[in-house]
Amino acid sequence: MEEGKISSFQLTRLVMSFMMATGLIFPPLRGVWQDSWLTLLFGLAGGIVFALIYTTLCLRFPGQTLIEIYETVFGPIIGKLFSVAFLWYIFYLGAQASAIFITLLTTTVFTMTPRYVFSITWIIVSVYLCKKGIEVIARVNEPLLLVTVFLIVGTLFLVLNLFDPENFLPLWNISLSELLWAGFGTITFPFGLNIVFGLILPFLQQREQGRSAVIKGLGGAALVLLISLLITVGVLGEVGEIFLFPTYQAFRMIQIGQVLTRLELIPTLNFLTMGFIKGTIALYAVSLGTAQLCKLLTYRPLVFPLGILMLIAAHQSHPNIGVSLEMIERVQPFYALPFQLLLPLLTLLVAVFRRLPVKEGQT
Amino acid sequence: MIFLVLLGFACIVAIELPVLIKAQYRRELVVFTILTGAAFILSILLALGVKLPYIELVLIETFTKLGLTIK
Repeated sequence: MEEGKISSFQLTRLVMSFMMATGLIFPPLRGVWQDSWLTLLFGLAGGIVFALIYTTLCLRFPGQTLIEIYETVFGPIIGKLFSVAFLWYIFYLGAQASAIFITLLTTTVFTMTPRYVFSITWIIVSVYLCKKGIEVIARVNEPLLLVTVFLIVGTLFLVLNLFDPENFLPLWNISLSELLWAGFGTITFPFGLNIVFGLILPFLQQREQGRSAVIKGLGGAALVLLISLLITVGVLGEVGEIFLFPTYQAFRMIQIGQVLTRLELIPTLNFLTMGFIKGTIALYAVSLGTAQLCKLLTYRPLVFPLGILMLIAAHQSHPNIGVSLEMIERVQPFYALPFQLLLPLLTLLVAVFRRLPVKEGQT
Repeated sequence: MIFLVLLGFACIVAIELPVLIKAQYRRELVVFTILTGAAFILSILLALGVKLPYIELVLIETFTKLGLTIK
């Protein structure tokens, strides 16, 4: 099915890119603005717990992806039903990423360009990468992630003249219930999204290092998102709440000696690279998962039609970006929780109860 | 637009189909045909201007009815 293998370091970097993509353009502010750094840490803790559950499952069933594990644990009928639901979730993640990516480009930079120009170019490159396999995706990710991290860390120095630490005051200005709800949202989006790597962990060279690689990736992504949050909140203050893309607005304000101006292309470029990697990983995972679900010998012929279906889903995702924001902030936590936590947890409990997998010599 | 859709799908079939037939991947051929057929029908509908439901509106409405939203 997939002959390629990736190292644990490459997996860490893939997790980082996947987590950062949408978070860079829609920072996890969730109405708590100056305390958003707190919800980010809360989200990281939750994301690590989610990761521990599904990586335990993957370590228990070495060499199997979550799709195969569901079938082993629940049998062919219920297992397939769970797999189809899970594949829909990944499929829609990819569609959502590309929808936001296209909307960002058409509303900020290329306002006169038709949407399908971006859709077609995105799908051709993404399909090509997916067909080449996980090794190539991991290798392409490396320079893109490096550039993204460099640009974000570098920008921190460029906003020093605009940065106002008072924008973070008063500290702890939220009630516990507000913090918990905002934290719950941040756990499921973006940190809980790492469940997708349950389809990639079997292709790791050192399988036992999978768990630590995912956790390191989550930590790295949280750090970069924290820097991005610091820039956005520190520069804009509470005024930033009125903007649809606050990060974009914060970068727009950078002006150093009439030379370094109009740097809003930096967050666009960051999302362009990370969003592309996120969409590609989702397309790869959904193609591989569908091939395993249908017991095929190769996933490659499915990449093109699934990519086009993903683009159609992206096109039919939302009538305007406000709906997408409402989806992420109000509905996403409840929509994502069954796939990110409940299903892997239930599978783990059933596997422990049924003493699966059956070892050789056992009946 | 319809011409572009037809051209695009003709290219995909021309690229993928000979490989599948030559390697005698029957199961793969069936799944490929189903997925490509679904993608083709939806693309033609969109090209003809047929209004399809928005996924996020459906999800928001469903979860709001179930009372599963963050206020």
